[in-house]
Amino acid sequence: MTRTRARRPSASNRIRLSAAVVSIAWSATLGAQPPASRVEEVTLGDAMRSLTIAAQVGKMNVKRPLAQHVLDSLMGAFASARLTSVPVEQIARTLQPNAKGGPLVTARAINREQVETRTGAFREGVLRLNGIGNTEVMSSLRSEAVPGDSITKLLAPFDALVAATRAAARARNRDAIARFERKYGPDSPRLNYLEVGLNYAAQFVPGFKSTESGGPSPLELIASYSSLSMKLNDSSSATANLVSAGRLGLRVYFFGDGWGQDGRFMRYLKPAHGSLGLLSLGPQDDPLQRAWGRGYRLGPFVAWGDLFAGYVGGSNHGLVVGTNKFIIPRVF
Amino acid sequence: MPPRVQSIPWTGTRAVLLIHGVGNAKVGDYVDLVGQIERVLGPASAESVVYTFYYDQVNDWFADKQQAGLLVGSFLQSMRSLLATVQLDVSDPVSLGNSIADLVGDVVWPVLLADARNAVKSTLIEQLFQIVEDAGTAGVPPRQMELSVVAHSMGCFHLYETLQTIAEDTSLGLGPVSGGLQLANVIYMASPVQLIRSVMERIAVLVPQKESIRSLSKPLAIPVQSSVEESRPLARHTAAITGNLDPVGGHFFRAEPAWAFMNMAGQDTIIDQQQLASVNGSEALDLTEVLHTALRDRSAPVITPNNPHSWSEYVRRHEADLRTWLVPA
Repeated sequence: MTRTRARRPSASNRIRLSAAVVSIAWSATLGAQPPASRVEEVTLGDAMRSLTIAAQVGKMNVKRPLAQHVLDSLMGAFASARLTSVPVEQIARTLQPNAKGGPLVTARAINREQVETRTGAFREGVLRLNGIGNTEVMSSLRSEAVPGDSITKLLAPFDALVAATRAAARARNRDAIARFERKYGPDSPRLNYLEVGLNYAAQFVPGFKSTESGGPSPLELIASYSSLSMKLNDSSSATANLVSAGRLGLRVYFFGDGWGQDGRFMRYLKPAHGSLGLLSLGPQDDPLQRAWGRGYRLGPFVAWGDLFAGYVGGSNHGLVVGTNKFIIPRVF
Repeated sequence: MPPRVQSIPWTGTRAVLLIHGVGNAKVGDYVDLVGQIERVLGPASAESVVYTFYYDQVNDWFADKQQAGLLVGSFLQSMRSLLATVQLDVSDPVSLGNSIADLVGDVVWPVLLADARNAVKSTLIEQLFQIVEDAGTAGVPPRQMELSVVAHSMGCFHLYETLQTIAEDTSLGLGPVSGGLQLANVIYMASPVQLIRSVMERIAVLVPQKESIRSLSKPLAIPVQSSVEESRPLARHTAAITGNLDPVGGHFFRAEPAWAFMNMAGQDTIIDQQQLASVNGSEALDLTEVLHTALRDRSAPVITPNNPHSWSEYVRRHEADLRTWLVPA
């Protein structure tokens, strides 16, 4: 008796076969629900469906059963949380560190129901979904010799989710760079030697720490001595004197949109920073005098951009106004 | 104005990103090096793009805003005392220590100011985002990109930190698991990462937010991302090239102290046998050949000192290796 061995299909036949499977599977998907024509319209459900089909084509349940199990679990969780109709762009924004609200809120708004999925778990779940798609699903497809073009078409909705994730991360990263520039860029306030030391030490204190994903802290310590201050006396003579003033306080950078704009008026309306703290004057209303020690006068000050105003009490009380500019750079 | 990153239209699926070291590099510098890389690529350069990442503008922000002379002083002192513990057969260890310390002093900003290192890292990440966007505009998805990164000197430190961050922060979508982007090559030339790590350990009490410095808070390793059943390194191939006379690369007159040389498991290590000087334009000091040449030309040999840290020399010496890595057959 002659036994006939089943012939293994050649490489080119396997490619054709895989392409046909992809085509059929994709057609079935098209029939079930038309894919979004624009990236902005792709939903989490679209991305999930494309992964499901790709996993079937790649026989992932046989080759990587654990990954298939996790994928199925994630699909079930997202479906039960009724998040499948949320656009991937919206999903992606919630994946960024410190993101608030997000799909949980969106799902509540859509379904008018309490959703039990926690945002943190959801974030981890979507990132895990990205990982499975980029590794196990991709490896499965390649081991089935599915052509690259077919993979691209098959995974287009999933790729839209990954691209949206990257776009949201880029927006976050650009925001961080803009914050660095506002605090340290050429238009930022210069620090004197004392402030350099204080702000170096402040890096070890919560509230002053930099965050990798969000940029610098908005806070900066001030310990300055300025010779360009003017004191308006409260006395009946209503005189004004040029005085030297010391300031100890906290500067806050405004990182929001619209703040820190250039322009003659905008830089005063919406400056890049403001500050408050204590202002001191020496015993006499004279310039280039010490602003501390015996007989000094103390009062609060507030600054808006480069301009500040304060008030000192005591026998020779009055309003003090000035600027952050230095006569001698980095010194006073 | 925020730091500008390069955007170049893609002509194929291959790109090379160059990251320079210490110095005061401006946009437009390293044109010669780009030319060298294009020659290495050969015919493939027509379908390749070469990016250069400039970050000195960011360093300048911090240099202009802050005066860290006191901190620099302690940093350099630590460096000198570290060198004093090494038994080196050199005639002037103090001079060597000073020159190395001054060079390493250029890393003060990223080590002692958390904002400085994070700002450079964010800018490098922005450059990578732009490269992915450029590729996407040309219809090349991340999984088809053949992107290699070649870093030199201090650029290796920023690259190492950035890649480790990309590996950890999967929400960036720039890694092989998180974003389908696996780098073809990461090539460190004269990497001071281990050297900086050793110095940072000495002054650890002065280093703010140590946990955010991967080269200090964790053992040096090739960055990897993991999914459910598979793990993938950020780069398919990682090479570390240095010269045995290059102190920045962790070699002190051919000695290779473990505290100075970056030696990650899995890296492709190449140590160049360097000479202090070239004779008649060649580093190969064959006495017979030198004498033959002198007799033939009836002139004394031309001796020129070498710069063991020169980036272009590293590229020149490894043109064949680079060609193999960047344009695999």
